[in-house]
Amino acid sequence: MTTPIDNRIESILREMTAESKDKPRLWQVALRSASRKSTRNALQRSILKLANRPLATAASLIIATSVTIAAIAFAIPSLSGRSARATRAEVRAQVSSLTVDESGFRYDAGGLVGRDQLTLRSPLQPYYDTNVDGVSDLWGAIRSSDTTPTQFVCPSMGNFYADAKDEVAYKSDLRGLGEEMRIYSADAIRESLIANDENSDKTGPADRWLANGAASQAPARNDASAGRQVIRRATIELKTSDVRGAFLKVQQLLEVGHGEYIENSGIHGADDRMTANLTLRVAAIRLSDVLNQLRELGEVVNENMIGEDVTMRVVDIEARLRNERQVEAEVLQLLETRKDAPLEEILKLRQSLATIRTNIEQMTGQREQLARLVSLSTILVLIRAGDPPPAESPSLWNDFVNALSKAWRNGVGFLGAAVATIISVLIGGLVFWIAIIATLFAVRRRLRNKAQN
Amino acid sequence: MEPRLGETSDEILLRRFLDGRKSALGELARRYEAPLLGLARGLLRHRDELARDAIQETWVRVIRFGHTFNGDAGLKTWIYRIAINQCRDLARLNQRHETANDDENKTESRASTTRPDNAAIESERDERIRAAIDDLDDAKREILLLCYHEGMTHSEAAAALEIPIGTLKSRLHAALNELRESLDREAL
Repeated sequence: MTTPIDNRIESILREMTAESKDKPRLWQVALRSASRKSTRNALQRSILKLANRPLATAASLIIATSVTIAAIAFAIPSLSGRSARATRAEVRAQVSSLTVDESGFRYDAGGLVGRDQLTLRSPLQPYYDTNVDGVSDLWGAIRSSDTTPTQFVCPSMGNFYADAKDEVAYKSDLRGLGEEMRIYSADAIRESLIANDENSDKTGPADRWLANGAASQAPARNDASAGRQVIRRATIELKTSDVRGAFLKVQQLLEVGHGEYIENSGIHGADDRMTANLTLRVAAIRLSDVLNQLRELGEVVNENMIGEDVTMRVVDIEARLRNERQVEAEVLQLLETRKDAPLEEILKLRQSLATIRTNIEQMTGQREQLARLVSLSTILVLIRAGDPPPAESPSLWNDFVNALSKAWRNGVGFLGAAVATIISVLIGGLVFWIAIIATLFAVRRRLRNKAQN
Repeated sequence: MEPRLGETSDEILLRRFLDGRKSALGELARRYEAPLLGLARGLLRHRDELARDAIQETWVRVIRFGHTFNGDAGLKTWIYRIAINQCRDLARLNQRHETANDDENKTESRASTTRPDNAAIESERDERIRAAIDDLDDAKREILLLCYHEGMTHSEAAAALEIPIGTLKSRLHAALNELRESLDREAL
């Protein structure tokens, strides 16, 4: 039963905790205070927030770290193990390292990628604008504004030359990276063409060039019949609708009995973009026959042939070989007649004999190699279905499109490499990430306990 | 359509505040700051500055640890629990100082709560009751003040003190008995 005193107690208790009449707005003070404290405890709160979502946090951390590493790796090409792609400046730098030797001048086209416009200058030729494609199955063009014919030698594509103000389109059937291109002087070409073209058919461009007067400057061709040793290399480019059929027919032209064989071959693309290439080694005496048969397989778009006269080299090797053999015989005779000589002298003679025999073996090998090259000519056959894409003329628009294309390739390449790097960081740093997640869990538990207390 | 702040539940207000709306905290304060300050004054024996400090710190903790509120109890209970803990902490921190100046403080305190017409019998009786309440130990005093705090149910009080409601009722009964006995002894 409630008494008056109880009522009064209750009333006083209510009065003692009655709502405050004043409005100090302490929450606003607290808000400012918390803001100041938040600055002081920013790190602690960040950790708490991160610890509340350890998995998401760890994933974000991993991705951020990986992307950062990838970005740094790309920013410093040496870290990513990728060499910088050739830039215009680098290409020009390469070209500026042109060297001139007896055969003309040469530059190394290795490392060129994309459609880099080159301007070559040399004492021998006014200039060449070369559009070099570093990717397979792309086409390039070499234009010569010189008034003298110029020979171009590319191991991957065979040899060709540009006539005066002629424009020669060529296809690099290899990747073009690291390919060596040699540009011979007009004199060197003239000499080799004149010396080695006695059996060539007069229908190719080389023959046309010879027929146009260059041959008139040639020494007597009869020299060729006087035991000349000539390595012949021909290139023929055909256009036909049936690339595959022509490709197969070319292979059937070889006669195994003469030791002929296909050095390499390949067929690429499809439909109008299908191309095929074969490098044939045929008997020198059958070179003209094989070329004639090749011309029947399609429309001849381009054809050229060069010959490298190695007669002097062969003669030189033979002479040195004879000399070395003579010396070898003399040393052997000495050894026979001076059996009572001191051991030291005998050892010296044997040492000399060993050196002489090594030289003889090397020269014999060189002579055989030259003999093989002379006996088997090389024909590079290029077969394609359609016309090659026209060489792009330099213009602002082309530059823009090329730059855009390069940027796209670089971008896609970067993205792919970045993803690969992220994956490698994810997997490689597994132990590290596990440690981070465990730490976040521990921190969360600790901070929660602290907050609850 | 989003309900007005005045119609919104405490929990949603907290969530909105955590999402960056400071006005949501203002609405929570409008609901609870005055009652909390009154309770704190009672718990801290009418030391106004301490009470303000306690409630300010309560809001600081709501702001800082609002994200840890898990909804096991109501937000009101959670805030009151923080406020009570703050009052306890402050009372404990000031205990030494309070003990040293106990007599002086009591005189000042009672003087401040004494009405000008304290000659009246009722006023004398009320004064005796207040004195008896203040003489109770902290735990009993806390139970009494919380249970008779305006708008606080026994269930909410039990939750705020983190004790079962049965325990609360028995402690309340014991505290009232002690208070009555104290008053009876004083009357004799």
